[in-house]
Amino acid sequence: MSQQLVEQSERLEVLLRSLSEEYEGLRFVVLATSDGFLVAHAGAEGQSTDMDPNRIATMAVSFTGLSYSLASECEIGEVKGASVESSEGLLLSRLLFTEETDFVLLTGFKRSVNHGIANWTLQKAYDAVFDCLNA
Amino acid sequence: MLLKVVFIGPMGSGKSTAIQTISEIKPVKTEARNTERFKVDKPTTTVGMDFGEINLGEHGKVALYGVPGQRRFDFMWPIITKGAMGAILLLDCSQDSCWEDFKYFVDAFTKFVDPSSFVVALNRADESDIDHCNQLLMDEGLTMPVFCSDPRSEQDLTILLHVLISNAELRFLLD
Repeated sequence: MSQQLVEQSERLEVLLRSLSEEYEGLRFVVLATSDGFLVAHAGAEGQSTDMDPNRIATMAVSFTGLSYSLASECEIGEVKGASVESSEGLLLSRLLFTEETDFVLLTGFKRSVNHGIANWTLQKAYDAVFDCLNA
Repeated sequence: MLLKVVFIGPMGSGKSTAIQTISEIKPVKTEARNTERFKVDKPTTTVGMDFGEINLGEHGKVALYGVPGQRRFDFMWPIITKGAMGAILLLDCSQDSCWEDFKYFVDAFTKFVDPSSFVVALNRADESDIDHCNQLLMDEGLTMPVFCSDPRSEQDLTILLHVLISNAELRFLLD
């Protein structure tokens, strides 16, 4: 990671924590570089002993990368992100491009959150992180 | 018949290039911007997998898979290697960590692929590198074919695949 990104990661960590407190139903947020390094996260540890934010960041990147290739193969246009539906909730990821680096933003939602609210929350998180990265 | 071959090795060893070189279909890639250019100076890196194919006509196909080389992507390795009939371990001998990586990848992937189904391909290597590699294999009690190979050379890669498939046929006949 670049020195600039290391310096930004503290501010991003604070931002992600405030987002997870602000939005009901948001279980965790993870921001990773597009090649799989954890930049910042909120809530992605402590809920389960197996949950490792570094590993989740890298997996989110592989998942989003494969989704990108799948979408390209299926000719469905430019990919914004990808989703996983499960019995206990929803995962939404979003690609985030800046001049310096590309990122993947992963959000995890509780079962009680519907798709509309989850997408709206992801967009809010995306906007906030994008502004922070470009500040 | 569908044969699955996996290209393994650290970042920058030439896995994506090799698949690009020999695949007869447009390869599936999962490239992302590389933030570790101080380690390996290339603009992008594989974050999911690479995939290509070689058609063997009436004999079927060879499916070519490439793993992401960085250790943080190790969760992808058992997924991609599942059902593989062999692995080609690529190494760039000009990288400082070449032999450390060699040991690491042999150790990691012999859990998923039988050690007798490996071929080692050394890029930017000379005879002394081959000798050193064979010595390291002997130290580990392993035997694997070791070649100097350029991942941009279709001829070099075809030899590796022939060796891999011939070894598999031999094992099949002996079993």
